[in-house]
Amino acid sequence: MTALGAALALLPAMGAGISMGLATGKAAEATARQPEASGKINAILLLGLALTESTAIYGFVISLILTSKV
Amino acid sequence: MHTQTIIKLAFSAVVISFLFILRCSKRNVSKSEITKKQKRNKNLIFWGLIIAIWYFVSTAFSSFTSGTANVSSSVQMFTDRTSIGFISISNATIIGYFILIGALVLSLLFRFFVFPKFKEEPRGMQNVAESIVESMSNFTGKAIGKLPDDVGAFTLSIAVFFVGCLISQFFGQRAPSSDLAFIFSIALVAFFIINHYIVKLRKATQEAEVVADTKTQKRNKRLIFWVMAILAWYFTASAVNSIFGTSTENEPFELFSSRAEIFGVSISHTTIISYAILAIVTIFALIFRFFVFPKFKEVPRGFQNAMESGIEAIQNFTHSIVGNLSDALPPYMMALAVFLVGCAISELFGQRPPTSDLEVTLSLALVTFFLINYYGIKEKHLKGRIKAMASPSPVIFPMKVLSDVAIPVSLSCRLFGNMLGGMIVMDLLKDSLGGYAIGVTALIGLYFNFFHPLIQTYIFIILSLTFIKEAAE
Repeated sequence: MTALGAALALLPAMGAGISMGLATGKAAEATARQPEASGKINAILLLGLALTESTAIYGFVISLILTSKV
Repeated sequence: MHTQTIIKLAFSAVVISFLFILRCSKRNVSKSEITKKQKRNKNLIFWGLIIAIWYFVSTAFSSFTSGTANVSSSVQMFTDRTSIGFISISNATIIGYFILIGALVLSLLFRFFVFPKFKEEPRGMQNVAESIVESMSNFTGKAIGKLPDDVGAFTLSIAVFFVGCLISQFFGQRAPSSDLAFIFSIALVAFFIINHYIVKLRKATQEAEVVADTKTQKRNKRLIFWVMAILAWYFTASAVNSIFGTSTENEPFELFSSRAEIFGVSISHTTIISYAILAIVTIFALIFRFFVFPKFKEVPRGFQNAMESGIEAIQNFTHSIVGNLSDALPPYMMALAVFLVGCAISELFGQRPPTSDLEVTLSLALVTFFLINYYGIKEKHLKGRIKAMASPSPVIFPMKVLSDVAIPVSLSCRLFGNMLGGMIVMDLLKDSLGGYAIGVTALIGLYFNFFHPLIQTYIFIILSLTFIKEAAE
């Protein structure tokens, strides 16, 4: 059952992937509209990506803890 | 002979004779009246005859050679090797040399005994040889672009070699073209020759008009380049392996790093490495402080200029996020960045990076937590800070407290998970490649050990500053 839990803990990565893809798409659209603001858009994009990726990383950490018998 | 064999032989003999009689009877039909059905029947009889004859012959043969030999030779990816002197050569290479020597002897015979008899007007074999050479150079010209005639000759000799390899399989040997090392040597020669001619051609066409390569020619050149690159990597890795030998011991992966006992205190390996990084950074800073800074002038030039503009950039960056809160924040953030980059670089030295341990990242996040609360209380005083947590309505007070506690947890877990993930991927890559992890791990390590930690550093610093600003406004 531990293995099953460790595998299920990685499901949130799906949501993270979809949301990061959508965010990058919107950033690309915004840059296409106003190429001068690409620096600021880049900064905002990186911040958003790191924050959403952290939810996937929580799941990763939990599955690591479960499989390492710690 | 066994009775089983006799029965098999008799059965197949009967089938053969039956089919043969059937075939002979069908031969009397005239050609114009053959329908589809009759053609199919004829085909069936033909193939049945062949199979029955094969069965008969093989049973008879195996019964005469004392039963079938049930030895199955194992298929190995790399051929057997023999040692000649102190060099270990694969059998395929020896056979390849035989083929090359055979082709060379044949060509020398042709050159000294056949070619002098060629006449002005080609006839017979001379005609055939000349047309082969011409078609080869046309072929190479169409595939790669305008190149001198020697390339066509080289392509022809490669073709002859590969046909010789095929023929060697009929003699029961393992074909040299199924050995990667031998193929790679030929590919190396082709690479050098082609490069040499490309350079020559470029120099020649600088005066003439430049004819751009078509898409297929460009793709061919690119394909050749990448095949060369992969074979070069494989060759180097095999060479290094055979000289130095491979060690296939892999360190088992553990979530928490190994610990050491120092003066009764159990310290983890990663903490010791983080102390080492801090010591290196401090020593550098002290050297700069006492030997380089006193030489700075009023008007900055060169190195001093770069350092001053760097410090200004960091201060602008911090103040753009936090505002004029404090003068001590930019140096702390820069020191944090240097520390995190140092942790990433320590993985290139074979150590477990300190940021891949939850202890180190938790300590860094706790410092950020302390800073958030320090600046929050300094700006708003303790009562103001507690009031800010109950701002829209007192019901959400526990939730805000919880989210404040979750900030350092999320910061530490994000850094820890990212760095640990990168370390696991690099470890798996190296374990799977074994002795061949030359160059590939370095290229992929460029992302996982350098670029990815830089992004995580940037994120950590930006998030810390954002939370400090949020608590202090």
